[in-house]
Amino acid sequence: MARKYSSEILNEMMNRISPITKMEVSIKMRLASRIQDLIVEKGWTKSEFALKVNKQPSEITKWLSGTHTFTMDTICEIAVDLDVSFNELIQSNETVIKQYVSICASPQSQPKTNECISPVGDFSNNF
Amino acid sequence: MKYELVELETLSGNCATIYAVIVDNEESTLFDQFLQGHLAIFSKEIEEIYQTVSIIGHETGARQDFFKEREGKPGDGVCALYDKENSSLRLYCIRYGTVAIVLGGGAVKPKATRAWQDDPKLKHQAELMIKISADIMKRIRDKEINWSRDGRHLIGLGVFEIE
Repeated sequence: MARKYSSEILNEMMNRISPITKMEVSIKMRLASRIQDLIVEKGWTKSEFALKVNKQPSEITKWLSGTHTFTMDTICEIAVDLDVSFNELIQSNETVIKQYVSICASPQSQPKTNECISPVGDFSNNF
Repeated sequence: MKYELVELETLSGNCATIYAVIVDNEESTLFDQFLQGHLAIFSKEIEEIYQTVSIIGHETGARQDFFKEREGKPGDGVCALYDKENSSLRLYCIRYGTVAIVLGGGAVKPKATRAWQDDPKLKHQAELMIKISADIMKRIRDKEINWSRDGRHLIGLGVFEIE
């Protein structure tokens, strides 16, 4: 087996990343994974899914990359096109999203910038 | 050139094992040097890259869609972590299914560059990973390196020399 390795810079990175950044990355990647799993469950290719949602294949590649920030509207459209409920689509993210919303909502963590303008910023109203 | 694969303890998890490369007995890995070299100017992007690797190790595994494939030769597994159009950095890796990745180094992606061959720093990092990937594949074929029973760890790793 490989020898285990750690370093100052890796430890620094682990400690410096904010909870919000951690959750944002986690939500994007989990949502991408969930969408991809549902596409596979349906027996579709990515191209077939692209036709279904009326998008270019390159847009689907971005959606599934784990880096894309989805709007609430797009999440709803994807849920409808995949024939699942909104909750089923975000199920792997539900706990993470609730934590994220509570972090955004707490007075101590009110961001100075528009950090919470990702889709789940509005989620607390609909949840 | 000598190289060694090391396992990154904090980034590896139940979903994937994360390895990094030490070249020619240096003190740090190529990934450390990538983080260190770009943190000051590209802090947000570096943090997101680090966190992406952590999520791969702990939550999702190394799904194909999280990478830009075909950065190396056909079938050698050399790829880059998916980078958005407006991102500035590229990080090279070798992906072994969803269960293991070897992190290499990376560099700034100049806007005018369409392919890594056109930029000397990207070229250097990509070619390094191509060589290392080819050597690992040869050693796996020769049974010098094997996969563990659970299929998630490489066994037989040490300091290897590439001629």
